[in-house]
Amino acid sequence: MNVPIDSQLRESSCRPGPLRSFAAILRDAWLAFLDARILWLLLAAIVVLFAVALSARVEPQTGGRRYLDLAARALSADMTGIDLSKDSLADVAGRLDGSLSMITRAEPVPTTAADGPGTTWSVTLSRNVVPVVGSLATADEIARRFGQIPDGRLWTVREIRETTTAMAAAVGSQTWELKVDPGPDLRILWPHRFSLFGDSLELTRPEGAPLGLEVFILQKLLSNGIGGTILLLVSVVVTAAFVPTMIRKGTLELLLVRPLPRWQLIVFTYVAALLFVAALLGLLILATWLVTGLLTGLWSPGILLALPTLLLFFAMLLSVSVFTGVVTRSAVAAMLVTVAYWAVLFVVGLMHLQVVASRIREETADKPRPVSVADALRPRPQPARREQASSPRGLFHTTTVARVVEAIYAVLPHTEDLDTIIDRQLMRDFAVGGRLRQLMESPDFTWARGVGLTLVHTAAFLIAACVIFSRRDP
Amino acid sequence: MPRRRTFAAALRGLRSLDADFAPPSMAARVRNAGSRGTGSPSLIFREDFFLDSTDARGCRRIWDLLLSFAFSALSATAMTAIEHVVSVRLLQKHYGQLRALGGVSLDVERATVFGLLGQNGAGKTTLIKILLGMLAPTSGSAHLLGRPVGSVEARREVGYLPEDHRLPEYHTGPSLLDVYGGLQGLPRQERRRRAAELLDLLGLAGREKLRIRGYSKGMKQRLGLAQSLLHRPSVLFLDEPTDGVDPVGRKQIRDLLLAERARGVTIFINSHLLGEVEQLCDRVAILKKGQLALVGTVPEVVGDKSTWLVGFDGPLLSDHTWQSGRLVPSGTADLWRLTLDSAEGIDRFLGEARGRGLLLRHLERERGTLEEIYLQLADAGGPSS
Repeated sequence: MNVPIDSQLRESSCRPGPLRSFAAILRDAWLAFLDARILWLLLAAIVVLFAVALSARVEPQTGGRRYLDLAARALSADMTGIDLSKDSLADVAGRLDGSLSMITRAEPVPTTAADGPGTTWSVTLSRNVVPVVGSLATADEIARRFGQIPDGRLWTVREIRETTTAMAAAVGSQTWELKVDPGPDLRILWPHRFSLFGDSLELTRPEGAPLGLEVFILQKLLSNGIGGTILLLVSVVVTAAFVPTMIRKGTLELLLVRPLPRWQLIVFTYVAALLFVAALLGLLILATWLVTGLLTGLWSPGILLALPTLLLFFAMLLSVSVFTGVVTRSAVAAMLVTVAYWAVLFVVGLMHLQVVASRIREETADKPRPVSVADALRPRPQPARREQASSPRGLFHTTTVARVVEAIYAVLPHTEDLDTIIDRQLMRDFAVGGRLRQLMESPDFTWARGVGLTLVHTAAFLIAACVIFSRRDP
Repeated sequence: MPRRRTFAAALRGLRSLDADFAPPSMAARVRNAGSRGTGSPSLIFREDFFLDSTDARGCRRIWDLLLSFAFSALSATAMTAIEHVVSVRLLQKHYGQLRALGGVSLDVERATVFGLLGQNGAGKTTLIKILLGMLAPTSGSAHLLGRPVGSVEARREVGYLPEDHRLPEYHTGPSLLDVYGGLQGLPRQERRRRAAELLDLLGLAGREKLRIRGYSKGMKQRLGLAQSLLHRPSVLFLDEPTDGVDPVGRKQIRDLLLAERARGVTIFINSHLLGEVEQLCDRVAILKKGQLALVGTVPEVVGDKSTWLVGFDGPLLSDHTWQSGRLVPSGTADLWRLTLDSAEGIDRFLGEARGRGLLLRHLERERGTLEEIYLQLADAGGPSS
């Protein structure tokens, strides 16, 4: 009943730390977050997406002979950068080391076994060496190198027995009898059929596509692609309302009167929103990893990298949203500006990709490939020996548009780099090759620049928002 | 609680000339006023306390007083420095060309209910927002509890109920109080306890699960008041605290505010309901075009008229012009309005009435109302812009 007791109580208990304020704002934002109906729609959409993905069937097709051939080719040619999913001999041209290896006989062990990614094979391998240029190989060397490709190991040799006759050796022709087991990375390249809803919707050609490529596409679709885009878009919509709701007249006064610096209101709200989206993203990515793992048995964790990169990307979008929210006090404006900013980044990033691709084309164009002995023996040079020259429109990266794009791109956060970090990792993990892989491995993309520039932009928008909010009369 | 209803009236009565007419039981209630003042001893040893020293419970009260005196001695170093809870010197606020406040100076003592009146745009909200540290003054100084306004320490001590407040609709009552309590730095258990207590006190108990979206205006107002009281502030700023609340609710809120004052809380009230201000406030100030037009206790501001209302038992009056003054019908049944010829003429009038064999049934000094004063001031310069 006495006043001093009350005030003493207050003195002792009211020790406001930023942590307690943050917990309060976290709770407030959590309730605001749960209150958004669109969030539940989003979660329903993602659940449906994953249900569809789980209905998929992945079945191995035949392909043993093809991958044995590939392994044989890899013995004699440098396979770096070659898209193994496309069976084209032209790719190997110019990469040979003066020898040619091939499989002359292959049958499963036991002979009745089905042709699948787990089958052991009995193989006859022959290797012909061009005199002077090439050299004979030893059995040990063959056992070590057979099945080795740049992205992994297709086959491991269990037994090897050389059957080369002395006369054949004299003309540079060697043969071996091998018994080979599937290597650790064979499944990734093995052709699988991929169909949704049981068998009703075929998504691959009848002969199937490499399993790694399928997982790559599925993971990109679920996490980085459709899933991530839906989730981030909805997160932008939901979180765009946070700051404008907080600083509208009648609500703002109730917050400004509290004993904490104004900038903390903004920063704490920002971090709270970021935490919720991080949790959602984490769920999405974990679910992606589980679904693809369960479907295919490939548990490569590269996709988990998408959490930090997508979150960093969202952190930047959120800072734009908070900044616009503080300046305009309108949720709709914050939302539209953020989505527009995203669109600009997307378009500029896409065009930058074109510029890089064009530059790579120019670098490789009109350069003859290394001449092999086979080339030298041919009566006249083949036109196909040269890389495809520039496209009919000319080189994109020399046009004015491309220069403008590059200028804009130079000051924007390089979110494409963030995407590239994941793509590169996934492509390495799943041995996906081809032109995109070549682009991704380009030195034009560095994770340090992508992360650094994005962080700088995020901090700039956030600090600007705090400064404006602290200085302005309510 | 009839005790509390008459409390303000009794207090006003004691301070005004009519003190002698206040019945002893009413005076006894003023002891609350004695025990509420703990900060400065001058507040404790007021005449109202001694009026009450013969009361049967007087001993306990003296004991209470000694205790509170000891407490105030303990916190003397902190408290004596704070002569005034609010101290404003030559405060100006300009919005571009518009002068919202033009040199306001004001001191408010502890445990006062202070009414801030004025027309729309007179600068009331600007003044309050400056005191809360939300707006920076163009010039002048303002201190709250001896600290410059706007400092985090000053804000820790204030509670605020804005006008037209919008509580976030996705909250329930308890969750909102929990969030605001957290921002205020209250520990979790204290928050819970205090929220339950206030919701109960303000008649919101039993609606804990309801979202604010489903609240009526009166309920929102009560919850708004609850959030301002949550952390037991020393100074309360209330903008239209009873807006949209039903009469029963208003009384609850008045009682609550008076109980807070009894705890030593200083309360600023911004209201257009002049009757309520008159009932509740110890002091009022009227702002006009950014200037203080009038400051004082309610009786000071309202002032006394030199007329009395009288009623007699006995024969009808025939002679309306007496030696001590003049009587005219007041318009109220059987009451006459008496205009005295001299200031001390009431004794002469009483003697004259006795001499005429008339029995006095009613004698009351006529007073102005706040509304009259307010309208006079408003008329004097037209509407402020």
